[in-house]
Amino acid sequence: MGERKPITAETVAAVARENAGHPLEPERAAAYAEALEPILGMMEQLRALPLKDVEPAPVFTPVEGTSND
Amino acid sequence: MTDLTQLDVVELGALIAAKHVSPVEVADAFLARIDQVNAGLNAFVTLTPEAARATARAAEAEIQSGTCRGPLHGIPLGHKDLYATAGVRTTGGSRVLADNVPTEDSTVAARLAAAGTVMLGKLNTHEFAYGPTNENSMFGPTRNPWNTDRITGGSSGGSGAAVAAGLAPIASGSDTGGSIRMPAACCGLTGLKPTYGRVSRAGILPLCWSMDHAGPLARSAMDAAIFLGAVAGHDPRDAACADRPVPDYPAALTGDIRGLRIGIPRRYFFDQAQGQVVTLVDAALAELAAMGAVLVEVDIPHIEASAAAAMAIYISEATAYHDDTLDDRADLYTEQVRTFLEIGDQMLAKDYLHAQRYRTLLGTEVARIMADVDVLATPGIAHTATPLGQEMVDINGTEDAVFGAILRNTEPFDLTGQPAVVIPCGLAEDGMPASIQFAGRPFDEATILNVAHAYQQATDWHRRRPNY
Repeated sequence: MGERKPITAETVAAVARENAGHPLEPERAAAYAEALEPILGMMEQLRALPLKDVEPAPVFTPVEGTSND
Repeated sequence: MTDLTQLDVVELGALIAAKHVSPVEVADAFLARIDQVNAGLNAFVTLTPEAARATARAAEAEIQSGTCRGPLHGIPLGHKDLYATAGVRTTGGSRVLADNVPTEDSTVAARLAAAGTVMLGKLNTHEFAYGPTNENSMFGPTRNPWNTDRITGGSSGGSGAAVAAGLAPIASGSDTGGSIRMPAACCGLTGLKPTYGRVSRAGILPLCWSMDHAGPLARSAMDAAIFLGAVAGHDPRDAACADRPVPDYPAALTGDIRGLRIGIPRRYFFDQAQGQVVTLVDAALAELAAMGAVLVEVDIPHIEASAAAAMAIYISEATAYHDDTLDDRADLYTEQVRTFLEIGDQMLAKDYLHAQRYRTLLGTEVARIMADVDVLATPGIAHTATPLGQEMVDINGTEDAVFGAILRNTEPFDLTGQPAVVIPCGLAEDGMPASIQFAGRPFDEATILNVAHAYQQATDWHRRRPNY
């Protein structure tokens, strides 16, 4: 994966509107882009961890019903 | 005449069981104290005095007839306003649930009621538990009784202020990144986060399903052990709740820690804490060594990624939980919480899963270390309670964001799910409590509570009360 570019207000607004269905006002999108940038920087730290053969912590548990279900 | 509001659960329980005081007198004493000082602290947000007196009268009659249910019978308490309480408003500190009145108790509230406790009311919380300071709530901020210009820590800040100021002898809290332990640290209390799955989360408003824990804010380790004994155990209403035996926690608190091995991870936990806090924690460790504990320096690989992992998980899970409300009622949230929730739309699924994989990695590293030590000891939080509204805190000459620094030492143990307890270990130069944290092996709450108990048998920091 290539080097990450800083997130923009336009990207925040587009993702919120088109992917999440939560349209944002432009000024709110701009504020969120500023708040989000350091968080996305933190995510780079996660991507650099030695996680190759490590499974996620939550384990799926099949739901057992009763004979009356 | 003894001021009943200054006593802990063990002391009150002994007076009640011996019929020296009645549960009605005890409830009245705490309700009077609430009338006197709650307005200045904003700890209780809903009061139930009539129901409390009725429950106390029933307890009194039962005890007079010779039936005492145990050490919590007739003991008043408050529940964090995240816990469902049948017939009593449960808001999560949010306008989103301003009129929410559950029809059923959370499992913890039900078990504590069955143990004979007397609920006084509901306690302020950071909105939906989504913040570590207790400044953002539909009811306004909670104030710290040690200094009302300071934060209580959050998100169980109402519980912290209430127990510290004598509005309740014990209270429930919840802990996703440290929300029991941070207010305990800020308010000079004992705060226990049990192992993930030890206590049912059923009926508690979720912040983050895979990291939420329920537990007490108390005045001593023994009180926390009593609370845990009453609420722990399997609950089919919570899929994550473990089906394991519940030990007799109070009986395990012998105070004998001879030969106990205490691991001290200085990197990350101590290196980034205020010097005055570290000095007090080191003094506490010396006290434990004098009692026969063996101190061992340890290092936890990859610990510095904890904040990133916790952030990815909070943001993803909380936004998923609130997704439908964000669609049409986003304006009902406080600005800080709304921002965190809406930012969640931008989180990539792979980063959430990296964070969950990191939990396995971190848990494996910690388990390896804990094969050689019985507990880990760290400062409870890296600094003392900060002024309300202050976004940055000075840590040894470096400005750090309060929202990051305050969580640093507690959230790793929400990620690993192992039990951790915070207790006071001194007063810092600013007059505010400092604290030490003990983390144990999964489902070994007894050992960390015993270390805390041993320290509290030898010192009196847990008995100090704010002059409020």
